[in-house]
Amino acid sequence: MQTSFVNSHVAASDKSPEELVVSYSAYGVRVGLATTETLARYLPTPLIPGGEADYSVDSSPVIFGFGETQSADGRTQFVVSENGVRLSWCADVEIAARTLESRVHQYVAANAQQFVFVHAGVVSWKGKAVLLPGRSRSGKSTMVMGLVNAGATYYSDEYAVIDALGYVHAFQRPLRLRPDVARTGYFEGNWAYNDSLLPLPVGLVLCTKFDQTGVWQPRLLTEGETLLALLQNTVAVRQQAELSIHALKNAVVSAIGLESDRGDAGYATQHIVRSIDQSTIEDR
Amino acid sequence: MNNPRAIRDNIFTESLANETILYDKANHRAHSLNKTVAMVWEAADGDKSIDEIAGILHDRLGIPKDRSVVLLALEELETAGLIEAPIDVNRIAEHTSRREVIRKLGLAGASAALVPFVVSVVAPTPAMASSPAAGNPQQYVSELQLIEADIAKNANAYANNATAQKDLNAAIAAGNQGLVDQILGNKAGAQAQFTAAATDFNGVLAALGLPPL
Repeated sequence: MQTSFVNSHVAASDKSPEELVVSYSAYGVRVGLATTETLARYLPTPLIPGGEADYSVDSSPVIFGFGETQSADGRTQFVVSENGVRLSWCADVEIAARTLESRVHQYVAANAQQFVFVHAGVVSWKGKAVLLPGRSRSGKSTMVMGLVNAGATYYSDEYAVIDALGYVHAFQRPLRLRPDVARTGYFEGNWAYNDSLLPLPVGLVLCTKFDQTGVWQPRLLTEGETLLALLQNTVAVRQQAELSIHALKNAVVSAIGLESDRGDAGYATQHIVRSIDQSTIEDR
Repeated sequence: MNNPRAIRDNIFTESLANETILYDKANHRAHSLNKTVAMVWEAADGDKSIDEIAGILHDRLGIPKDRSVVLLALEELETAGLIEAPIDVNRIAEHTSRREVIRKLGLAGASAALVPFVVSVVAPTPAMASSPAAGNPQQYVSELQLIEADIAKNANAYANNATAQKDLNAAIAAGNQGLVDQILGNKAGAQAQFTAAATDFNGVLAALGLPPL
């Protein structure tokens, strides 16, 4: 099933037919959005995976704006703002929509209550979560796609959302890969949005980095190294050190940590699947 | 000779099965200490000597009562910024290599996991731990503004440094140890804040694919 990019929340707006003001609630965070029904169609549904929408922004501490304006030379520009302050503007509505989505997700990740957001790809394998922590352009999405194609269930290609008990919740935004030929563009991968995925204990934390000459030679990480690998990608660790480290501790207690360079994603995926099976993560 | 004293201010700890995680809230650095180093960090209170700490390691972990194990642990802690330096400048004369410590522990039948070892990482800012939106550097504007403000704060702190130095000299001359400690503490705080700001800034630069400062 391919996700629809038509935001179904827009229809019931009590504002003018074109103006849309909506509030989202997710992970203890409220976020307001001011846009138009036309532009809302470029946003994914739901805007925040796992979030709920209503039509009151009274209690939202932040309101993101997604609008359009004319530049001095008469061209249409699409503007993303936060509490009235321009964050970005560009002529491509798709890119502007992705920017807005990303900014909203970052805001939620940085302000979530009782949840720890780790920048990581996540799939489910044999009832355990496999985490692929990594910064941007480390190839997380490619690896997630490869594992999904190998039979894993897609949980996230952006954040592992970890609760205080160390369980990982799905954060299913549309799976996107950056084509090498067009770094600012995206294409949609095969995935199915499923809002009934259960939180999972972590079975494996896989730290890989793409290197053209990289060879898959996994090194077993200690529990502490595994925790640090996640902490290095934890969004709000500076603001919530105790909560983050406590949740990460519970997450890694039953997990195996592996680290390796990798070359071709397809080749690496085969090795990873074998590593997962050999490490018998379901028995941990 | 100075007895080793661990830095404990602003440090949050969490114990794992075989390691201890330390989070330095001042510098936003996290460390994983294996059992040996964690025990040395706990024992290093400024009162116990290196020989006494070696005795504690022997009693609790069953490893040989050997100063070289403690010294290697202290080196690891010093590199991680978790011990007040200098510990003992004379220790260089009795420096023992990691390989030698491994050999000694191995001969004594101790686990290789007890060889002093620390892993350190820098905690990311929210921007560092997120994907750029469509590769658009505009998303870093607010982060850069925060960092700019942070650095400006530190610039003010440094601008006042000359005054602080005068105050410090006056406090020393007057023998007012409480004031001396306070001024030194302020200067250390400013230094830590500046280091954190520079780290943040480098993180943003790295996220943008640019070299560090």
